[in-house]
Amino acid sequence: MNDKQIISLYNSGEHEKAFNGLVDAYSEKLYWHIRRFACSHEDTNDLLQDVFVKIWAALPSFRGESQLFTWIYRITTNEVLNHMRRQKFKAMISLDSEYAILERKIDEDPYFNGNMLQRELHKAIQRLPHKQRIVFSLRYFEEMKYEEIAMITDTSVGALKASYHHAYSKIKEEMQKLLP
Amino acid sequence: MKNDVLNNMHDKLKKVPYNVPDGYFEELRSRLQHPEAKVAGHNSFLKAMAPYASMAAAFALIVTVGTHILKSTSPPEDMTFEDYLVHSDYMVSNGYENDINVINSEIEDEDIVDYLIYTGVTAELIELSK
Repeated sequence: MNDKQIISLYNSGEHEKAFNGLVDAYSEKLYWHIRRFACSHEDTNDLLQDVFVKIWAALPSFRGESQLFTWIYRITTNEVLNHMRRQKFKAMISLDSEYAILERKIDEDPYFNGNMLQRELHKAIQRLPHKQRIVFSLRYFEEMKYEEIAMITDTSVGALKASYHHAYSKIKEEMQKLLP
Repeated sequence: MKNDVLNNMHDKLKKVPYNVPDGYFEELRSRLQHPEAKVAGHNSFLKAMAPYASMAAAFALIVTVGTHILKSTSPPEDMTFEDYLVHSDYMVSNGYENDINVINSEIEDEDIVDYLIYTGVTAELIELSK
């Protein structure tokens, strides 16, 4: 089911079918998008469910000014940013560093099945400022165009290019140290 | 580009390095469709609020204990002025309570006589008081 069909079903009152269509079309994509920031399956699962509840609650206000895809990613990305802020706050209360907590989660993740370079790449991403993590992930992993990322993050293309360039340089430098 | 591992190994590095539990996405659909999915979201909200609730509870405890300490060391509201003086250990204020030397200095008899004469007490009365 594509976005037009989902919106059409919703507008014609077939809400349950529209929601099923949303879940089928987006659950995996959104799961992997969140997963890169949540660093654990459990946190990702919680966030994903929150995201779908928010999407469903906000659907009546979707005016079609942007694509459904962009709108859904924007809700998801805002939830991810909120999650990152909560994690930072929890780290402050527990007198731990946000990065140390995320690094431990990556190291102890029973669902991680990548190699050493991939593990270090994901750790390096967690060392970036919150918004840079988002930009890097959307551009490097999901290969989105800057114009799409601009609509999701409500940031100018120029600022995104600068942000991505900084993030890329930092991570490249860290990854180079791991190579013989 | 020679030393750019991110670019050179992009195809391998961009692959998702995670598994999910078996049947996760199929169960996710039914979980989200079920009314309990909203409860899961609520529980997630409670989990997120837990640190803030802990901080609020700690703050409330500090305020309660602090208030109790302040009240137990403060004079009661219905005490008389005399009781207050006793409680607060102050002497009657004559404008010199901060002048320790004045309060603690010994007053000589001559000073008393001079004062009495100044105030108009006759010499005969002063002699009688000695």
